[in-house]
Amino acid sequence: ESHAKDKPIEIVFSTYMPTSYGYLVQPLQEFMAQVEKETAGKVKFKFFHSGQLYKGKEEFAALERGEIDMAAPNDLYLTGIVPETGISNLPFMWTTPRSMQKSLDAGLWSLGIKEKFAKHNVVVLGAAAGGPYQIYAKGFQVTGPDGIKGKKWGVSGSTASKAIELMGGSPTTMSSGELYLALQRGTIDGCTRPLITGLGRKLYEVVDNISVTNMAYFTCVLAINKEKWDSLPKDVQEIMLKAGKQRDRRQLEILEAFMTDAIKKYMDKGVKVHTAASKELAEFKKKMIPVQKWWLTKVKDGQKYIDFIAAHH
Amino acid sequence: MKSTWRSFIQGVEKLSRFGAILGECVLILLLLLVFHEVVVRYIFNKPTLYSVEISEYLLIFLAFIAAGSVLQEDKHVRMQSFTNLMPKRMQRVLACIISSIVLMFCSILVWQGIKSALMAYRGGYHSSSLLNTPMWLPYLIIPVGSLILALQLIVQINSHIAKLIGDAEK
Amino acid sequence: MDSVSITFIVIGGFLILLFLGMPIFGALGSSSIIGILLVQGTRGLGAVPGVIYDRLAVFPLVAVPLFILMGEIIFHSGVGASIFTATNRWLNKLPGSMGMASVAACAIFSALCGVSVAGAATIGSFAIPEMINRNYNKSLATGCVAASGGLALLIPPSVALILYGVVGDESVGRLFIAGILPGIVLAGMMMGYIFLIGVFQPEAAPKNTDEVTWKMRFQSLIEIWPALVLIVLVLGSIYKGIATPTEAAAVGCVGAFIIAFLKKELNWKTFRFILRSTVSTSTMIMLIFASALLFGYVLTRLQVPQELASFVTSLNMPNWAILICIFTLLYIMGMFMDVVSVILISTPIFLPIVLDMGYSSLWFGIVMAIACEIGTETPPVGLNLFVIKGVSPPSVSLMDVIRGSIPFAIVETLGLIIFIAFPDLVLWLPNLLQ
Ligand code: NA
Ligand code: NA
Repeated sequence: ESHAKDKPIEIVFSTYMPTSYGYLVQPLQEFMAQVEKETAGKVKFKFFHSGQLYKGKEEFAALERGEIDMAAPNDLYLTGIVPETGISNLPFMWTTPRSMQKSLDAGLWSLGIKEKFAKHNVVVLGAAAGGPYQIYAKGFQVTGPDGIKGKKWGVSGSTASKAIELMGGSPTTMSSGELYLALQRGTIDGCTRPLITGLGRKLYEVVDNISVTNMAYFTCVLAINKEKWDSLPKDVQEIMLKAGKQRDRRQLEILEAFMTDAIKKYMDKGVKVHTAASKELAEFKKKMIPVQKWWLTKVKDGQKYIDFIAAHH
Repeated sequence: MKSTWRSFIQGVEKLSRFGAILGECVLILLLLLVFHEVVVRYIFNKPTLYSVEISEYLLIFLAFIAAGSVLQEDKHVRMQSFTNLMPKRMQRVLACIISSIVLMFCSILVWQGIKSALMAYRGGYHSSSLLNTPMWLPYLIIPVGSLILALQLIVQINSHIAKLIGDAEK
Repeated sequence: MDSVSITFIVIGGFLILLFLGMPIFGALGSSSIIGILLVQGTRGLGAVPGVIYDRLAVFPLVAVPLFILMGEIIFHSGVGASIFTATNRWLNKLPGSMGMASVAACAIFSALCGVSVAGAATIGSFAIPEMINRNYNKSLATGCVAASGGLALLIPPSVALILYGVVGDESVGRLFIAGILPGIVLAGMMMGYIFLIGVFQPEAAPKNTDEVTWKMRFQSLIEIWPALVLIVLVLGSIYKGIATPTEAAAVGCVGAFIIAFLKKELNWKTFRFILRSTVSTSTMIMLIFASALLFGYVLTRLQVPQELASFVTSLNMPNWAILICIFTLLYIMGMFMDVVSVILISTPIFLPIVLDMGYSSLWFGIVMAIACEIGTETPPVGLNLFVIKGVSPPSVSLMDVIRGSIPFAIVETLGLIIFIAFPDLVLWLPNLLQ
């Protein structure tokens, strides 16, 4: 047993995100460095990025089964497993990522989401605001819900599909990898994605307009397999929880800096960036009321999440 | 005993062929589904939300359901340049061992595949799309196809052994 | 056990099983399972269906069975014979004309079908007996078809490029566009080689003495309209944005079915046969794909690609030396394995190194496809060699085919070196069409 004491605890951390996705991956790297440092080498991470082990779709299942110990899943892939996580995808719940992080820090996920994760053999160490969704369009500018009408949109996730449908557009599910060619060749007219996807996939080469509306968000979860968690000594657990909180804070900082920078980058590339005025946002929001109603039919106790956000944002 | 075994073999071969026919149907379905999507999007400007997702499930189905029949026809690519140099009897013994190892691989696919499907069933896994497909369904395709392949492997091993015994008696 | 020993067991186990004649999917799968058990024990086995589902259930791969189906329909529609007739009549006056016509016909056929075997088989079954009747050297007659049949991997549509696109996260549409020019150049180089043979060694490729009128030439063009329509349909629908590359496969299949039906080549029996053989080829390829993914997963977990990449960087070798190493390894793999397996096993290992050197994944996909294409015509395992032997008259031996394909492999290697030295040649067309 003395031998086991000297051997560091190995934690396999897998994410489908590439390292170029700075505000998502850098905080994770800092988290790992902090834990390794504070545990004085007792814990050692093996980090796999860019979907080397698992792509987004199966990451959570792999975490639940325990082939990987830790992951940072995006809740867009989780709404089919824990529907409550879909709260972040509801349109126009928050105006800024900082406001969303406030709701998360106040305990939005303690209303029942964390409990559901535990039933899936997964412990949540952190929940951070992901970059908000913007509207990319080719050959036209979207300045209100009418801009969506009659056009074909590449989307991901059920809530976004519903939202586009409500505004009279035709949503089609498309992975980020397919967007470039589809936009270039006119298979679709536009798409909704965070600013980072557009930079990563070079969408600025094929679209000429972006409308910054912060229409929806995703949550970036920091999660660990429960059996692995239970096997960790108490002091290591505490260090990890603390580092997890720090990760959430860092992600917000880096994200905010990124968004200002990204908008500048798009403009440099010749993309027209339109930042939606509050009047436009109000119009969008009005159109989106049925999305909430639709969501509440799927998540029976969803109202308490909406009320909680109204109280803490 | 002998007749039970014979009907087992016949049953497996029927199952493999049935898998292949299902595969053919799914291929046609896949073709129609993808073509339909092009038509409704390009001509009617109304893309569907289910086409991509269902195509992915059909693809998994197509990949596994006919695995047994491909083995039956001995169409799985393999390298025979070295084994062909061995004496006939040794080739047969080797074929038995090789098939048994593949059988182990298939058994793990069946076992773990069922485990995954059960986990998805109990945990209420659904796809995160408007279709909201229960995930145990597509998950189950892998173990089902692998099971047919495993059964076909048992038949194959049996026929190798029968030939070996036949040779020895001669 | 440390990860280096496990790596040796996994790779060594795979090679042993491969050489003992285990189906490739089984060899990849079984050695992966040993690896998983050694790394994580039974707890890690959930990855076996997990990784397969994760990587196999992706939309771009839908193109694989559909392009195979399209090739099968074309194969049974009698279009192959008319393509060869047309190229033969048009090149008729030149030295080595019939060999050149075979290469040209294979190149055109390549634009209709995604796997190399179908092209070589279709054109070969008409062209080879004809060439041998005209006293062509047996090796030249069979070698040129074995080699140019491989162009199907490079000229779109191509199953190899689709698989590479999925594993290497590169756009399949861009890969398709990038494959066109190198495909044409390689076909041209092969034809040039046959032309030179026709000039300097006329006894190996006797001149065609048939009288061919211009009327016959244009008539033969009318005969091949279905092929041209299909090529335009597939590439045009991608280029015009009517369909994604995956969907273009479905458009092509429907087109091919209509053509086969109009040519009255399609009855219930052939229809069933087409479906059956598509399902078994697709299953075979996708099972290899599935287990290669598992194998890649295990190697990644053992950090083989990462370690290899940092090892290569630490050697401080110039880029060309690293590329020579990579392509030598690809050649050796191609000698023993089929294209699908080579691409799937080596992409995760080599691509990070190549990207690190500043090359694009688009370029690497194309040069890798060329290297694999050469692999289809090299012994001991060269699918095209066996196929060509199969469709040749009995007087042709496998050795004749092998002897014939080697000079073409050398010609293609020259082409490969050009595309490696000048990556812009590969990237020019996709950049132009942006
Ligand atoms: Na092709
Ligand atoms: Na070869």
